[in-house]
Amino acid sequence: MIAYLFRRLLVAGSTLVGITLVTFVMLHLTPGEPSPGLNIETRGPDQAIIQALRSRYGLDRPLGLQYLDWAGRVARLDFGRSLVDHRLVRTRILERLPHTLALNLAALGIIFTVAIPLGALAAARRNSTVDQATGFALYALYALPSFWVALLLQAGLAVGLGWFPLAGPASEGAAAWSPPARWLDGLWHMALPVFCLSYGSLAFFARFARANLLEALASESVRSARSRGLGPGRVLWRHALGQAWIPFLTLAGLLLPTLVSGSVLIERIFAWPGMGALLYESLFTRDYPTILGLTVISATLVVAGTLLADTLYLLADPRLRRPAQIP
Amino acid sequence: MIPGRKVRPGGLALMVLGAVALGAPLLANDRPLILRGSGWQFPALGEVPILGRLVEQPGWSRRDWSLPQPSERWRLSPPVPFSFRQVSLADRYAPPSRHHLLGADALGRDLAARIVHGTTVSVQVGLVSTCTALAIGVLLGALAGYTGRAADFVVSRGIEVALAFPTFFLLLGVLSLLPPSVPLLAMVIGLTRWPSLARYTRAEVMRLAQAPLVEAARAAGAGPARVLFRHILPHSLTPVLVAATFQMAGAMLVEAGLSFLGFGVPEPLPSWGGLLSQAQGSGRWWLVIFPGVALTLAITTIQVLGEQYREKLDPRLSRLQP
Repeated sequence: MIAYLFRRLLVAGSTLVGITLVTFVMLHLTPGEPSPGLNIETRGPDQAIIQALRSRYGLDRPLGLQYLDWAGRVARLDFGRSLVDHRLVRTRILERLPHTLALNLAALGIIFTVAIPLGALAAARRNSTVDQATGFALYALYALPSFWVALLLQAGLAVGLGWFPLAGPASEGAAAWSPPARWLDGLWHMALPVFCLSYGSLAFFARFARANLLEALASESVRSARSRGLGPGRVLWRHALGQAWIPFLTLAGLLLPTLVSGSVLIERIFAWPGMGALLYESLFTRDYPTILGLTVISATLVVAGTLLADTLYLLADPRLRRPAQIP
Repeated sequence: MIPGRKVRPGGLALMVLGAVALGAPLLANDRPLILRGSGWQFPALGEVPILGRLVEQPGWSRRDWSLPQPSERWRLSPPVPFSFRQVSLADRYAPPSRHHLLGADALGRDLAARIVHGTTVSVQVGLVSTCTALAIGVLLGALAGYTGRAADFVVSRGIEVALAFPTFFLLLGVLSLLPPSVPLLAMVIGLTRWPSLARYTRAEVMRLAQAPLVEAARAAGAGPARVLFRHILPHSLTPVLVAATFQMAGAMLVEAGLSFLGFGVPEPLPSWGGLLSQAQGSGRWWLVIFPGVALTLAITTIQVLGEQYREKLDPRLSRLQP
């Protein structure tokens, strides 16, 4: 058990070091250095000013030192200042973080609460019309690209029918409303982005749940539960799901990178002021500190989520607690 | 046809996809397929990769083929008689009609032609990135599965690290700094898609390393490299290739997403994701619907194919999912 945890921590640590190293090297070895806030065309390149800026941002030091220096500051969550508006990168990211977290946690919650009952229903009535219909629908959903669906929903439900807001996190003037009204308004704005973010993984998850439950239903422990005269509902929920739910945890951990990646596209389409949208803006302005900060923070979130899933897995699966089982 | 062998829908659809990707210049082009003047000419064929070099003539690329050619007697035009880059401001946002089958975009370029040529780009990116991922994944997986111990530990942890990377963030970062080009885009996407392939290869190689056939090869005096490359790898590739089909569908989806954000395929080359990006905010339904349908169909095709192969390989699975 200790060895398993140690291995997971090692992986988590190397993921973080790897991602900071890769992004740092990549961004600094490419041509084109940022010349922040300088209007070269009107004043002409003044070498002294460029030199001063280079030393102010540490761009004239060796790359290795720049990395170590930067990594040390990253550990203290200090990413420096943005090259665009000179505000602290940490502040810029932290004001976007709640928006992205809200979107991703809502998506994760919906995936779990819908996919497992759906998969269980399909597994319990295997080969019935319900099973075949959900199977087909889920397959179709899984193949639909989320950003296309987002565009379609925007055009159909937001512009065409006006049922949902087109974009943004809140209605105009919502800040002056009472808290419950603001809250409902936020949920209403979240509906379309969360749906687009979750349906693909939901379909995958439900199919996975069905396959796993079918396997569990065919196992000997379930057969013995049936032979003891337990009803189908109890057999399915207690005995089959009891042994089938553990792999869902690992899958949830692997789902996080997909969700975080997907939120770049979805946030862009729905003008959602999250980290994905900030990344998109920063890429166009070559705002190195913000890009690096965003990459590190999103990777940290993903790694933390995966580590949490792994730890829960350890607690849930008694076989892993026996030291002999660990290779 | 061999009796008792049914044509599987996935295989058939894949052939259609491949044919459209390869024959895009013959399906959508302003050049005629056949031009009969003083002799016979095949101008559209000149734009087909490789084969085109045999018939392409100097000056063809600058000619305006929509006008009647000197000494022209008769011509056969492709089904979509427009090239993907032909701008015509008179046809700005033309809705679908007999002239423009699927309508035209903001510059009056024919949407059908752009979608057909988008197939080439998408399949190209899918194939090249999957081959890149396969090369890396199979090599690392074989190394880990065959040598074991330290190499296995390093590669296995590497796989886990790579699986936890939010790769789309990384791809966007890299691509925003590299010069835009299709082969480069495909390679960079491929560099992010090897981990699961390496994992499959490692598992298969480990399983086969214990097989009697390997023992027999060793007993016959084969060295470790020969055992790995001649005896183990050829037998372990099938499940890896099945996984690779799903990776290809994923890579095509990633390309579409990157092009949608403006960091993928450079203009004027059409990409389905790029077409969708231009559709956003245009308020023209045909620009939103048709490229998305093409993308979905292509991805479903490849996934159905992968699914069929997987069922064929793993009978236990087809029992569970009839």
